[in-house]
Amino acid sequence: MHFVTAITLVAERLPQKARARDHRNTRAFPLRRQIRRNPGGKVYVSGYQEDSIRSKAIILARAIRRFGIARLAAVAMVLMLWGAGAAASAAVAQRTVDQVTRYTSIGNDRVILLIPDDICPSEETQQLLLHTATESLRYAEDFFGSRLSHPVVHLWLNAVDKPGSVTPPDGGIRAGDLQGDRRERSSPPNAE
Amino acid sequence: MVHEYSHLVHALHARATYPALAEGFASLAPEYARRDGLKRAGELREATADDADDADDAQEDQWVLPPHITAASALEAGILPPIRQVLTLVHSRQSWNQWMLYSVPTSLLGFIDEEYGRPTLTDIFRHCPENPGPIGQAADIGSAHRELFGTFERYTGVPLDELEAQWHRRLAEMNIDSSSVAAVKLLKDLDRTEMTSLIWALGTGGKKLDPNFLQTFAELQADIVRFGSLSVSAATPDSDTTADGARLTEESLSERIDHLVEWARELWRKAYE
Repeated sequence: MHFVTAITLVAERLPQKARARDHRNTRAFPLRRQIRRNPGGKVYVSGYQEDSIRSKAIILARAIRRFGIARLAAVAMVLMLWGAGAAASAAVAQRTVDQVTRYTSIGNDRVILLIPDDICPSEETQQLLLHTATESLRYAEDFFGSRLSHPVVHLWLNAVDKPGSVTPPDGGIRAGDLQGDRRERSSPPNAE
Repeated sequence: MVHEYSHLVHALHARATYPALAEGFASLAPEYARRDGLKRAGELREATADDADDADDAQEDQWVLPPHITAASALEAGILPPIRQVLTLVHSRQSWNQWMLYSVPTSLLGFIDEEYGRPTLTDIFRHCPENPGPIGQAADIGSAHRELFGTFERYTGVPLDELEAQWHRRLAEMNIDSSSVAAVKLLKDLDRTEMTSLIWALGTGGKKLDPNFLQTFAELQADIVRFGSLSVSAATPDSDTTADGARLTEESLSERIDHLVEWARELWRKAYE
């Protein structure tokens, strides 16, 4: 199966009233701060060489405002998932960065949380993002009774170049860690 | 995020299905996630036998799939498209079309979930036909559409027209507030700004749409949705006020649409100066 899905999520500093209103709308899906782990789990991660040059489709830009945490001005993330069939492609990726998403082509079955260079969210915020992502994927899988064929890696992109305290939390890995063709890592964030 | 991940899970079964189904399924799961959250927080209770004695109080606490409110309001307003049109809705910049795309198919799928059960819903989810896209012969598209409609008939076991009748009956039974009916009409009226054509016209002259216009448009749309309580099952306490605290009425919103349309016309003139 060949498919590409990309989503851009943007959270902006909101006026107090709008934030309060948004809180009412999102309070029904509260965040919990534990991150599920599976120390024994493994996930396959392909390298850039296996990427295709298929065009990317941005299907939705959506504001997420639940992370109204102090000093967080904005967080933009790109979540991407490649189907398993992507590995069949022998095309070499073009490492051009999309001007809108700041995304550059990358691997198989993974979700990329892209944090722009000028943003430095706290580790707590990153953990919330990762946890929300993990919970959301789990809910969608349960709801439709369909599970992704591989555990998903939540990849922190651009974090490696940030000054200060941006450190991918447990379950997330840095883009800079992906230099080889193939890597395996333990503790995928949402593996059963 | 449940919405986005639903797209990812759906992509396991359909690489590029019809937008109405893709967005319908992806919008349905978050509504249930929200409902589950309300239950966990104790802000929502299941209906009991006592509810029959006090229908008004019971209705306030009971959960209603929010897209049903839009669909039922559109039905009452006489602007709900036929089911075949609903299933073949596509993305556009038109305000009402976009609102429908994310709510009306969701209402239909939610109805199937409620009436026929989750296994029927997931069968349709897994067997959505691929969208042939805009390229192709009319006959091919017609054939693809028949496959799409046939998918619903096959898994629900009823003809599409009967499914539509059942869905409409359920929507007609809902006690929809007049403000919701007014809101869907106002959303449709927003299309008088002809945003798509305006952006195209400006683009031909190397110009861009005034960001203030876009912001005003977005704020007005948000106020209409809030006025009609279209985005949440229960009206928020300040659903009749703007973010600045001004009171929302059908008349005031209609006037704001008129002003925006006038502004759009001015931008049209500037596009060709």
